[in-house]
Amino acid sequence: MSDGPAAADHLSLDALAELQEGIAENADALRRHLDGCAVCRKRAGQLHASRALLSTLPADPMPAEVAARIDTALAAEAASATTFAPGGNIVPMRGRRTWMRGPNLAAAAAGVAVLALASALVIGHNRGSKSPTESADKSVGRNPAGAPLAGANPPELKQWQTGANYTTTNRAGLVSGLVLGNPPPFPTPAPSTASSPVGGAGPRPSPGATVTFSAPGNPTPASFSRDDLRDPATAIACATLLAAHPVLPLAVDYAKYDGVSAVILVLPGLQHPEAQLSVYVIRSTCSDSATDLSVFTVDRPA
Amino acid sequence: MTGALAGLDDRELLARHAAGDGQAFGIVVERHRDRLWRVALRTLGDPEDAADAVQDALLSAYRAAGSFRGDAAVTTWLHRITVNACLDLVRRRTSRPSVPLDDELDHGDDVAAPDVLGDRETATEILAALRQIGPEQAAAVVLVDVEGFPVAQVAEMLDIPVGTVKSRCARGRARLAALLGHLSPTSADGNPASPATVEPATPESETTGTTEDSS
Repeated sequence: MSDGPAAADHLSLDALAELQEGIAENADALRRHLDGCAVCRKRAGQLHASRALLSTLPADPMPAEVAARIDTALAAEAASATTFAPGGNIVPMRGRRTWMRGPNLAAAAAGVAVLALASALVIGHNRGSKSPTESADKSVGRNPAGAPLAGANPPELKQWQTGANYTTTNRAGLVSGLVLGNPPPFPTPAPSTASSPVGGAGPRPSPGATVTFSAPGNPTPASFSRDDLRDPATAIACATLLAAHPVLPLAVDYAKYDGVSAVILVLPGLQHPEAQLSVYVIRSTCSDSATDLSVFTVDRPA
Repeated sequence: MTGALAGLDDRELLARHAAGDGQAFGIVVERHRDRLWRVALRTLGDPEDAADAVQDALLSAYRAAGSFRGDAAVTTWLHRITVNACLDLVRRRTSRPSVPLDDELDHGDDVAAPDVLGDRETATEILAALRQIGPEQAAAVVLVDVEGFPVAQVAEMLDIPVGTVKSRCARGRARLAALLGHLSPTSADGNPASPATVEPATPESETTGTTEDSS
């Protein structure tokens, strides 16, 4: 605690602060020193001065945007279920007490197969892998045929196309909706994407080099266009690229962010996967060096 | 509807919220959020972190209101949850691998008017110093010295003994005095702390190693 100033030494700020707080062990001795030492009295004044400085901090109210964001989060919390509105918004349904967390089996069934292949693809790229991966390179995203990887238990990727405009104030609620809600059937990848199958023979991501886990700041090994992301396998590859380690996204939404078209990619929180969600806003290409990439974290809805 | 609720005290509102009243919690939030914001901002020294912490805290309070025990003051309870959220957030941050920064942090849309720039700069330096001393000491100093809560109530908020509150305050004040010495009038003739010591050495790591004790 106290630095036990030897008689000849000056008192430390710690000792002086303890003296002022009434918790110094050798208060009498300290006080005697203080009485006879101008240097220490000045130093004690420094303590008072910094306390006075603290009181000059402006008593600002909570900024409006923070208040709005919290209101949104509380509203999302209040909404125990979300539903998809054809108009393009995710509408929290107040008052419902049942959580709709189970996978939408009908819609997810095919997706899971795709995801299983896709994760094989990703993992396969991560290291030299076995046979299933090679075939996945060709068929993924197209005609899912194949059982889920043994041991792999990918969550279903919820694909949305809300077109909603995400902002700092509404994003927490919207993201919760993406994860909790059940998306409508997602249009199959547009014909144009047939020319750019992920992991396929496309010009940019050559198999084996597509998903390299680069450290931040290193040259980006690969990037995916926004259209590519309509393929779940690409979304997963992109998530893996952005997170710099294998991870499976929970949801993807084709929407806007601050009025700009963007893909919203929702991952388990990088730090607290069970408690948080990490959200990537991809405006142009999926690349860990993209200048317009932004990331934010929201609470994961229970 | 809301008008009738506005006449109720916090305790009653929490009880109503727990019983399913959809409006009650919002009124509690409205009453307390500015002060919780200030406590979080000063404990953490960073607006973005403070917003995260208060949001975490209010969501926790929202969920836990049913277990609120009426023998604690609602103010104390909310502060306890908020400070805990701050500490949790720092713990998460310190163990977090580097991730891309949210580019929105750089939005400089609220440019201070020139005449208040000096105060703003001072406030920024004070916040930086609070961040540097770590959330545990900062919370104690902020609750006692800035918010003016009695030490005994702060002990309840922080869930630590009164003596620990006092020692955290003392240590925090001593470190703040060293960090802010160049800002105070006495520095003119005293021995000013080197301004360089106020700069957080590395913004990412300033929260590590600054908390000597853990609660």
